[in-house]
Amino acid sequence: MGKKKNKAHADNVRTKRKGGEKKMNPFEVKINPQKHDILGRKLTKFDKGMPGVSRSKAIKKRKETLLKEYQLQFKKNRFVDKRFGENDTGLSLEEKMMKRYALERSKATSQDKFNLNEDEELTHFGQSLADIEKFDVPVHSDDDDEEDKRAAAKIVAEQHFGGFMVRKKPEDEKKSWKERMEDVIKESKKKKHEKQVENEQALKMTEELDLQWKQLQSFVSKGKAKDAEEGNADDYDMAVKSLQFEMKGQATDRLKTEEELARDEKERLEKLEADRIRRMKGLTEEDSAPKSTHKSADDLDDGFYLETHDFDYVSYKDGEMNKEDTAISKDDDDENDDVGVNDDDEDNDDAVHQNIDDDNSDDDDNSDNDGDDDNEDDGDDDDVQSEDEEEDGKVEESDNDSDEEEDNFSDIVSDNESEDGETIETKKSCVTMVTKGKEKKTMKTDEEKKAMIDKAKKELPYTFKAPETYEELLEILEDHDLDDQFTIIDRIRKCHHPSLAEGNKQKLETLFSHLVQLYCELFIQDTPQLDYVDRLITPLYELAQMSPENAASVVISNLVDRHEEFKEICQNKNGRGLYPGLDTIMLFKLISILFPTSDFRHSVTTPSLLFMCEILACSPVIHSRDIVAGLLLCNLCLEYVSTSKRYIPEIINFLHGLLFLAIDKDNKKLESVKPPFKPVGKHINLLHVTSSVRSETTKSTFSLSEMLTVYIDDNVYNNNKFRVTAIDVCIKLLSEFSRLYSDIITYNEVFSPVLYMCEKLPVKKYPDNLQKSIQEFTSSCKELTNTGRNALVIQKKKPKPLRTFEPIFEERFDGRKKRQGGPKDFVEKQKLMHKYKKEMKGAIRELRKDTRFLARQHLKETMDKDYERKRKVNEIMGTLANQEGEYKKMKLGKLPDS
Amino acid sequence: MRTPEQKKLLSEIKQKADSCMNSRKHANDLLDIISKLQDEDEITVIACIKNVGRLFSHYIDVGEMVMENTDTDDLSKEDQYKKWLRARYQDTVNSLIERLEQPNTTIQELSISVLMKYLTKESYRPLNKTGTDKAFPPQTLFKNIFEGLLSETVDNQHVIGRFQEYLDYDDIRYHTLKYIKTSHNNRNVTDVWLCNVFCVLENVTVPQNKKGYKRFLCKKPNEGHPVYKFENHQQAFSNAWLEYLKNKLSGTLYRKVLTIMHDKIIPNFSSPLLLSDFLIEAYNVGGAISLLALNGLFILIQKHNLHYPEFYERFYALFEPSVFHVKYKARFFYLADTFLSSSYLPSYLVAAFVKRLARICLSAPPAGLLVAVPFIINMIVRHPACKQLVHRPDREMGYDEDPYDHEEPDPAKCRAIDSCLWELKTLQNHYHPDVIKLAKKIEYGELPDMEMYIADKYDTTPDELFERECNKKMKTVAMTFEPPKGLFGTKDNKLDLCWTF
Repeated sequence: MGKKKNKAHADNVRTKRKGGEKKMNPFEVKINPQKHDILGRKLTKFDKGMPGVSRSKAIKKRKETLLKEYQLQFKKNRFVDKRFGENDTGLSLEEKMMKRYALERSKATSQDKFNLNEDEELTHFGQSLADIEKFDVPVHSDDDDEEDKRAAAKIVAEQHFGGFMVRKKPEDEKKSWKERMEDVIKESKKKKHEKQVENEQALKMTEELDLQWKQLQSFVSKGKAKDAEEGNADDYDMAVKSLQFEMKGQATDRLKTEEELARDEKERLEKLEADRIRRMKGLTEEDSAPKSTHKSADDLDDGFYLETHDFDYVSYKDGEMNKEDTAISKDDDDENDDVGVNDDDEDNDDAVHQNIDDDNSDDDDNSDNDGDDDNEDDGDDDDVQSEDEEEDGKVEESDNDSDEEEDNFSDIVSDNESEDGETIETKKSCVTMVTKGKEKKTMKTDEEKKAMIDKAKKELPYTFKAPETYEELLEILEDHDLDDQFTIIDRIRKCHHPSLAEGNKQKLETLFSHLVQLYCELFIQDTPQLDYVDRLITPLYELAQMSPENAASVVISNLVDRHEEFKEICQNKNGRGLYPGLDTIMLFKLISILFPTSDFRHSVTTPSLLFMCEILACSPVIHSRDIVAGLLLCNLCLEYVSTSKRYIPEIINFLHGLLFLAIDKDNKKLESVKPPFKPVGKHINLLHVTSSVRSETTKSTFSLSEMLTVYIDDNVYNNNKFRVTAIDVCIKLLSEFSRLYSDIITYNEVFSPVLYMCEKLPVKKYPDNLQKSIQEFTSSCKELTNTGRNALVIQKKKPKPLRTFEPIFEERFDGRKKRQGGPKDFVEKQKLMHKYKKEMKGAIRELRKDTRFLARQHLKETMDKDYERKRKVNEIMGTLANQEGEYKKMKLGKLPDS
Repeated sequence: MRTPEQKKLLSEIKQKADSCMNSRKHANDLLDIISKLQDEDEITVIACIKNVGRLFSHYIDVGEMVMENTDTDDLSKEDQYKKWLRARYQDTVNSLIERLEQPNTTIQELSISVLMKYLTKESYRPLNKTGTDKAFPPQTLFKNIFEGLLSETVDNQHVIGRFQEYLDYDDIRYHTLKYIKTSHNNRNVTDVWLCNVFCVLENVTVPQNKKGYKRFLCKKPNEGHPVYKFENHQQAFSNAWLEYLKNKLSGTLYRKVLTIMHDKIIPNFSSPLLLSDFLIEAYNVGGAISLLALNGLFILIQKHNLHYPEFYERFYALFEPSVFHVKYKARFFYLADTFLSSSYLPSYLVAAFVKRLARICLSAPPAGLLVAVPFIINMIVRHPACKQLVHRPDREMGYDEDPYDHEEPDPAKCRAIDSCLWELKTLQNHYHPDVIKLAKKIEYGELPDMEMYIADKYDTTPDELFERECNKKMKTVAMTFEPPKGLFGTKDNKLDLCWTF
């Protein structure tokens, strides 16, 4: 009995924490009843409370802390250490501990004096031994357990406790203790050995039996065909089961017909286009999403709103209905030019048609993008490629040793960076450092080419390691011809498709950045490798589509680097810049291919456009090459704004300046030009045609690969042919911009200086076609300038609908008050304020309770004191009365006596 | 590192100087030290200068070179020695002045400080007991120093920067200014000299101290000396500058002078109106120079009642497309804001400025537009009469063309007030998104009630714009959705218009 009790007591220490469930007194619980049940709301802690308990808890706590403090308020006491042996210097720490322990023990024993045998409880790892004994875990699980036990029992019976349990054999008495023990050991060992031998024999016999059975089995098997069948049936069953649990053939979408595919594609494109237009206007997704406007009870739900802007304006063209975006029509009536909008739509249609045509290749791309393909045939793609080439009808092979070139790239780049451009000589010198064999182009027949491709394919491995560095990429690509290089790039992409393994995405992202580098460096070779670049676009595009954020950051970092260079040049040259190389300019082109240029604000295209315009605005034209670079930049700008029709002042300035370079100058009068051009200087006649040029000899286009080489060949520029072409390009661009900006209200102001310059051009020296185009441009300009314009009026605000009094329903109500969104720091501050308020309130409440408690305590003390005084007074009065009584008694007693 | 020989040489120099100082017997060692002043080795020269400085300061202190009369032929041995010593002193001073033009800045600085030390010592213990030099500061030495300092051939900017700290002493400042005034007559005026003089003048300010000056480097002169009076200082300052501005200044110098005009020159002038000729002339030059002259001129008009009737016409002419490209863009807009701040300005004038600014905005870069467009809006807010430039509801029939005449130089006749700011409408379609947002402020409900604070944007550079745009974080990056077919193979491609491979 005592044992059990003790155990429970010991285990209390261990299990104290576990069973924390206290019994609640139902009378103490106070429930705050809710009027309505609200779904989805969690039970808050205010639903149920135990005011009595918590109050008593609080009071208890105060008694321990505040009351103590109060009682000791004016007392100055010393802390006396009364621990045993603390002041005894003669004792070491260990001895002290020992003594303390002994004292503790003695105290503990003194408590239950009458407990004789179970004076203390043994524990092992805090667990009472009594408990462990009870578990009775069998130490040996072997068969010989019992025998062992029996032997042990025998020994116990014989030897332990003086052996009085059994009657001893007479011979045993003669033996000594030691001998007896040896006997016991011997015996047990012997038994063990016997047991082992027995076991081994049994094992041996079983094995033998098995062998025999095996030999016999073949004879038996025939007779026991049923058994075998049972084994087969297992397989069968398994098959049946697996068939049963296999997914049933589900109804699939039927294969789409051509038209349906086209329609889907069209829808997709339309959706994307709508998205693009939305971004162009700088609206966010929420803005464009149909707002869930608040409806009043009177709403007939017929979609009729008072606000006029919800109407869609409709226009017709060629019998088709054009649905314009409302925002456009909302603008000034004049500005809203139907032609422009329709142009847009036509473009869209074109795009759609194109896409239908190119469905096949698109499909491939799409599947790549979606990541659906896991094991697409590599050869398949190659076929597509080769087909593409056949279509091109151009067969070419570039024997150039790309490795050698690439090795020199770094030099070129650094040289380009350092080129100051003050003099053209520096440019030349930096270029002469590069030496390399020119690219050879040889024509071959289709058969030869095919054979070659086949051969090359055989040679190419099918998997490649994803290059970590740019050099690695070049290493992989070296020694292969152009086609193979693209096959390799393609295969790298296939091998490292993100769906195949973790980390592949990063690999492809680095590949993208290297390819961008490759793209740029291809432009700054002696002869820019435009064909190569042309084919590089597709992998670049696809990689970019895969991870847009990475593509953006790679391109931006490229841009930033180049901008840094430009900035440095500007600082060195007193704020005047230098036209960059073809690589930088073509980076802008790449951006326009990869990212949409029409967005209101785009993280890549906006800075790139800013950069281009900065170049145009800051760099003076001091060489004919600058003219070409500037024209190319203008053309790119045109491309950037062709859909959004944004206004770029720098372009008009630049083209105006170019025309200024071309006109006959009057020495007396300074023409007004806009920076960066200057009305005087040695470079003002760069485009001045000195003698008349016949039309046959001129071209109307520039060649990218010839005009902007890293070399500067003055022969290319210093002739009238070049000048005429430049003027031609300039006029072309101007007419494009004039068409683009025909909508803008200040067309006249923008284009009148240009027109003025056009009229001063020495047209007679120009070839006929150029004369004609100038003529066309000026006449169209004049036409557009003469349009009238309306006065500006600030439009009246739309009337606000009256407020209704129906409750507003929140779609997703989570039972909490919504925090107003706002700037991050504001929200943070609000949170802190809220917290502070809460804490402040709590603190005030606690302080009040403290005072109340103290007041109570005070009162209690006073009352006690009063009571005590009363008692004492009563006591004294009592004694006095007694005395008085006795005295009187005595008197009376005496009196009768006397 | 110093080689052992150098070390030896240095200790030798020091020893010789010590021995000279101790007794006259070793006076001839002085010659060695002075000759070493011309040495090639810089360390030797520095050591020499230090020792020479120590030595002659000592001599001046003890009056070793003071002579009763120098005219008599038969000099006592004592006097002969003194005369000889004085000649050496002169040699030293001359070579130190030469050293001022050396490229080594340490030597330069050391020389100037030694020379100024001599100057101070001499003023307390003049070499001649009688004669002119007794007056403050020792005139000959002072003149010599300045002739060296304001060299006609060598740009002495660095030494002058060091000398600047002496300009804090009231006496030195006063005499420097006087010297500059007189030196115009007897100096060969070159660009370098002008530059040097500018460096000195640039650092001179006349502290407002009506009670009289006390901070003197040299011995204080007697009471009643002009150096004690603030007015005299101001006068000297004005005279020096006026004399200086009479010279033909180079372009950069001209700009520098104009740049410091408003806060360094005009406040210290006794009668700033004397500067008006110079400023008006500069204002008429045009371009950036006008812009700079504007500031000074404005102070003259505002505080000193300069009557300049054509001021606003001139200012109107400054609104050229180039203002967005010059370095002084911030200053221009700051001044424009100041000039057009008065609400008493006639509305036709403000309208003319606004319209002209809007017109040049059509060819401005975004960095300029981000200042100019809010500036225009601020003007409309400040002068409510100009609101009709963006809001003209009574005009039904519209315009055939803009009534504003851009070529008209007179803001009163350009008819800007009849016009509208269609330019802002155009800018609502600008390629920079922030410009669009600003230009859209003329729409309903957007026109602010109060002026926007734009003073912090005056300095925006295109580079900053680019960087700001690059650092913008976007949650998602939109991509094109039509796969390109090669370099020229996109829908929007326009390059094939004028370019081939």
